[in-house]
Amino acid sequence: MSTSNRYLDRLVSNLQQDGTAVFCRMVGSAGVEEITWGDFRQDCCRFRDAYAGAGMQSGHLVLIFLRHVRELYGAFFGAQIGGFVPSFMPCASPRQDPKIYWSSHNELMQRIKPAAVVASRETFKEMVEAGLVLGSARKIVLEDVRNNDVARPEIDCGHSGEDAIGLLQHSSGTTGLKKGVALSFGAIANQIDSYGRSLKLDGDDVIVSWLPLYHDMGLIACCVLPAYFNIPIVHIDAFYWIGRPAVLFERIQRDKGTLSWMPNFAYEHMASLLGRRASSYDLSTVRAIINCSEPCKASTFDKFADSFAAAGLAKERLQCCYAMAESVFAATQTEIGQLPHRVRVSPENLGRGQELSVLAEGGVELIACGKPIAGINIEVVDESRRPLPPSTVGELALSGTFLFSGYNKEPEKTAQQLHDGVYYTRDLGFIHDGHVFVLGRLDDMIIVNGRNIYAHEVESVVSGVEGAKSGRTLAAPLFDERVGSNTLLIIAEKEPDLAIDEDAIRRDIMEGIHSTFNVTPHKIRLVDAGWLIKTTSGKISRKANIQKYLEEAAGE
Amino acid sequence: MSDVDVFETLVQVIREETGNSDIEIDEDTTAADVPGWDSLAHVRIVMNVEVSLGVPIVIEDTYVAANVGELVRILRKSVQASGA
Repeated sequence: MSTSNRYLDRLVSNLQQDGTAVFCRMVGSAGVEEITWGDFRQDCCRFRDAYAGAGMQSGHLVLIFLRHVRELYGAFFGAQIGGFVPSFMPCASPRQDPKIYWSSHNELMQRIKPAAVVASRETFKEMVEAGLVLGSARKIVLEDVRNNDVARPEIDCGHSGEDAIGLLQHSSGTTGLKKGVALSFGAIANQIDSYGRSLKLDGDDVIVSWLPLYHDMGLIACCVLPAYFNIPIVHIDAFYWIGRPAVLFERIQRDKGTLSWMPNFAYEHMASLLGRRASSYDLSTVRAIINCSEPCKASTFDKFADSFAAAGLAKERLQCCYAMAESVFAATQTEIGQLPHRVRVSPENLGRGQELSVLAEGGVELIACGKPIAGINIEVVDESRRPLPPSTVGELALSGTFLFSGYNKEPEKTAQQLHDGVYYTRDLGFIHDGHVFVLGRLDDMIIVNGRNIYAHEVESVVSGVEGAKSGRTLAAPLFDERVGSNTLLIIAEKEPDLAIDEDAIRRDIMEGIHSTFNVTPHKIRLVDAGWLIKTTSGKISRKANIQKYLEEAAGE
Repeated sequence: MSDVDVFETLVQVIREETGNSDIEIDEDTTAADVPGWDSLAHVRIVMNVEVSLGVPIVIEDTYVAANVGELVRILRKSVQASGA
């Protein structure tokens, strides 16, 4: 195993710099807290020593359940410099029932057996009250670490080579079934070095973000990358941003922000709510606002550009990338400073295996996610994983220097998608003139507001609701132009021969889905037994039932 | 502007923003009763009510409302404070 480690060398070098420079500004409802590199270094040392003091060994996993506090960074990077493997995890949202939320973590805890858990005293109390069993995991209490003296201020690179796992990302699936994407230090360094060149980073960059760090876009683009390249971060609490979306633009203006990332729904949300006040913002410092994490929509791009032209945001500052945890983060990036490539295609030609018919006008307009960044190769393959010609629709498959090492403790799931150095993404798309276009998912993953959930897991929750017929439910995405994202449609057959309160069933479905996935369904349709159409193999047909629903809805 | 005016404005905006054009809404209705009334929709609802009523509303104040009736009372305070 190699003992050199570009990532840790760079991080440690940055941590040893002038301690008064700003590392991050934490923005939330309580105001702004400035963290210098000196503060950050001390937090890293406190957590590194707390982990070691708790008896953790090199390579041990630590799960970090922290809300919007400055120690997010020290807990994460302190683990890395101590030789441990950190993973950010979400806490219960204000609208989720903490008992249901935390008790649903038991399966995950039993499967991955973390060596330690970091949380506030209050969060540990919630976990205990919900019956979450932490087993042999050490409890690292935020308030205790915060009050510790820094016994050993020296920082070194440790002995982790580039093959060692540098972090885990738990980015999709429900709590019990979350897959931990294991990333080596070498893969992280390769991706960040390449992506940094694509972004044309310079000494004046400032990253402004409201993205949570348990999501790959927040973690890599707005936490790991800036720590590696020594770029100041302005980190806005996601819950604060939801209530006050203008805070993103206010901070860009105040802190001279140059780079920001957000999903398509957030583009739509910002444009809908703030467009009429555009002239009150100054976004002239922005080099790129990058749309990512769900398919980018040309109409949303145009709406955002038109809405904020008066704020000094030129259209070519709006960019896209195609990213996933399995390739650390971005695998493609549109050319910074240039308008993203677009094509008009016939919607009839967007099925798997079909060759595109590019139109001069009409059809649907698609926006590219850019070309593959250096170090990654993207191919489009058919059902047998054989390469397809250019401009043909198929599954996107990635190979190169920054793929994940596997899913943590999930060898079977790893083998299904990572084979002979190629990661089969289950994303449907095509490559036209070298530009990558992403159309959607091949499996039943539904992306709602940038959040990945699986239809079969939602259907399982609905099946458990009293009054809904078990196994006779459908969860499906419905794209909503107004929201700029998929919304969630639920169709459930009612149990026959029961005195049924339909409002109660709908309420139980809403509560069950929200507590489990932190997503609210937009349509719940209760239907009589036998309404749902099955395929010849006896499965409930997603396509036919969505079509039936849309036809009935149009006729109402 | 009366409580009834505020209530009717709010109901209309809720229906539009959640895409439930014919859903029945009364004072006891909660967000959990209306499909699509999530945290993002809540922000859109409040900001559109703000435009419709022509008065500034502090969104943080609205988070404590347990149902539509309480939300109407909070919005009504904003109206009174603005002198509209």
